[in-house]
Amino acid sequence: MEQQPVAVSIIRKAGAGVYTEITVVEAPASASAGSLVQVRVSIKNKTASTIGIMVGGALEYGVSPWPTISFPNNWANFPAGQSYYFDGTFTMPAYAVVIHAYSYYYGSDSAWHFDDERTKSVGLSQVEDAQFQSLSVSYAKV
Amino acid sequence: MIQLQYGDKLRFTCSFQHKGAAYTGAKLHAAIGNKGALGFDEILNNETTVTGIIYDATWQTYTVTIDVTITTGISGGAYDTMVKLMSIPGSDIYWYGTLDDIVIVGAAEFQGLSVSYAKV
Repeated sequence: MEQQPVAVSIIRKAGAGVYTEITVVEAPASASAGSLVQVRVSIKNKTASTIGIMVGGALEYGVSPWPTISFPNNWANFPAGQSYYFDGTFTMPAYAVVIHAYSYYYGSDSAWHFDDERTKSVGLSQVEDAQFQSLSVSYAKV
Repeated sequence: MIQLQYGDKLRFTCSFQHKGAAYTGAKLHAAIGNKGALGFDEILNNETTVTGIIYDATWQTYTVTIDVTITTGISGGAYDTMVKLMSIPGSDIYWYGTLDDIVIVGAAEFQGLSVSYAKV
């Protein structure tokens, strides 16, 4: 990954995937409350030149503001026409969620501009009841 | 074998495994007493509520300590130990220590005072 994102010289306000396209949002169909959910967002550079692309994500499940998804590496410079993916995680709440994945491009005004959005639902799986086993004990005078 | 006097503490270090949903309310109960055919006759004991049991997708080990203070509620002699994990889904889980492994040194005792006297 390069130090600085490459900017798009013409900034359009239209969004909806003018320069980028989120091609896939990968996540499990369901997850248990409290478990760590892995998310992979694949984005394509639709332009004919290298541009800086950033990923973002949020969870919709009835709370406001929407909690964000953590992406440790959240941007990269994409060669023309190339796709790349970003891995992120979130902790599953006690509700089914809708993942909103966002792509942004880096503009000549040195700002990130929203460009595309894609969603994916993750259901809440039944949590296995608590189970206990293997009690072992040692003791000593203190 | 561990020898204890009044005022000493016996620390039980207890480990168990958990998986599945987060759980609150589990308790560990440790006792010193006598194990017999009819069960365990507790003389001294202590109990602690286990906190921090989170959702675990696979078996995870938790370790908790409990101290039992040796008081005059127990006489001198050899005793047994028992720990149970209780207030959990399903049956309580028991652990028993080696028989007569705990020796309580009783309080100091005196007897047999005898006296003679003479002119000096």
